Amino acid sequence: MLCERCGIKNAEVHIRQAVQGVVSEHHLCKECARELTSDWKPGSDFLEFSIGSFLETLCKTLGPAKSEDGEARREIAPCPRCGLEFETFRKSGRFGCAGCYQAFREWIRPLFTRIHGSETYRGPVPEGHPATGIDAELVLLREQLKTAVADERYETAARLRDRIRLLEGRHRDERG
Amino acid sequence: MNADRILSLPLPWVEGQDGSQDVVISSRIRLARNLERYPFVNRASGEDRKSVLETVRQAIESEPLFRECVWCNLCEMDALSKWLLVERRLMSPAFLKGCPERVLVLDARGIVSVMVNEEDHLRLQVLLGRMALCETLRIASAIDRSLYCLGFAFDPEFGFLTSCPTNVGTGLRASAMLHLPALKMSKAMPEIIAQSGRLGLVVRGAYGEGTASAGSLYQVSNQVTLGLTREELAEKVEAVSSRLVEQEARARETLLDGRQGLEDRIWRAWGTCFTHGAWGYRKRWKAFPC
Ligand SMILES: [Zn+2]
Ligand SMILES: [Zn+2]
Repeated sequence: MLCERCGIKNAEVHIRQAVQGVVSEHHLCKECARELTSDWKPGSDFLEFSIGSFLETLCKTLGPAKSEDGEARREIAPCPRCGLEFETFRKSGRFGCAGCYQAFREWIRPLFTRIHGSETYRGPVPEGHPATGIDAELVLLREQLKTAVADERYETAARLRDRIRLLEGRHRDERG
Repeated sequence: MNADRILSLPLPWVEGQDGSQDVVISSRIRLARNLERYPFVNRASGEDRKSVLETVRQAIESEPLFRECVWCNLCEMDALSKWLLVERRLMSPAFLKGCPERVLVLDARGIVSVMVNEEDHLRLQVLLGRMALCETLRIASAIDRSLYCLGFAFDPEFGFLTSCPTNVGTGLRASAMLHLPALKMSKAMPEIIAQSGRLGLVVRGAYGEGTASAGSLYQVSNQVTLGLTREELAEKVEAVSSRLVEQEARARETLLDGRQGLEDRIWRAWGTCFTHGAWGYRKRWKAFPC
């Protein structure tokens, strides 16, 4: 197995990380493992593999998979508001503006699951925020979709997914 | 803003005026917020960042919670003053460097500080000198609400939007600073750090990422910011910290059996520390045996 960070050397350090019950695995070569823990000194209390040190490698795995015949990845449109390319986000792990979350929505959910063990916010909505209409319906549909998938009701899931795609498309037109 | 002026400001978490205990040094809540209308700091132009600053200034100046606050323009400050602010935990070490539009707003009581144009447009911080994360959170939430008029970047699915995916959602970092010399001396820290990690919390040296545990000062904080409410996150950090306070008390009792040698080492460190007038906090802490 190759190191997930440099993709060149053999992975010899294997780490299992559990965040809120979601387990992710990391495979690194010795050099990359050493770099990620460069602050560590023998005798120190800290062997720190924080989520932050893995952000870079987590982001690299995002986006659509290459198709089987090795064709180029499906094009992901850049953020219409700040122009950030998805490829740049994958490398830097930093969003450019609020619009990036909207533009890359379907590709960043798995990232949040691995970082936070969840992809859905819980808490107050700021007063005056237009979190109604399409937004509210989308949140509801996504919840239903999750339940449907968990219950293996695939027909319902497919129908919900179509509806979500449609709304997301309309959303982009409105905001874009 | 110069060093003398900074030293004259109140600093409740160090002065111990608000009922501090011996193990818990401080409770801190930090909220990361961005303005919907502008690109995040790393992608904003100088003009954008100036507008952010101006908009924030107007909102803060008309907000009673910020009466008599002090404005520090980071670019006009000397290195010593800036380090004093970091040492006093009123701003992050990352804020030492960055764009020319960085401004730190401090409230007159020394409890609230706001970094403008750090990694996010706003980093609101509330710092109290005792174990009081839930109370600290209430103050921070009130300030947060008072600034909703700025139009924070928010998404119903992902919550408050931040430049880095590790802060998205609540944008909240709750942390408690603890003095754990007995646990450190009894070599219990590696296990405690590992356990906390499994609970979604991080234990690290008191001055944040990458710093060693100088002076046995540790910071316990939440790692995840999405999926749990801000109250749940604060309660979790407080619960684990309280358990550490109990463990430390027990470890101290055990240590006192070997009292003679320990007292000797502490007095020697005390002597070294206070004959070096120019030492900063960290160097002083390091002089102690634990
Ligand atoms: Zn490698
Ligand atoms: Zn963008």
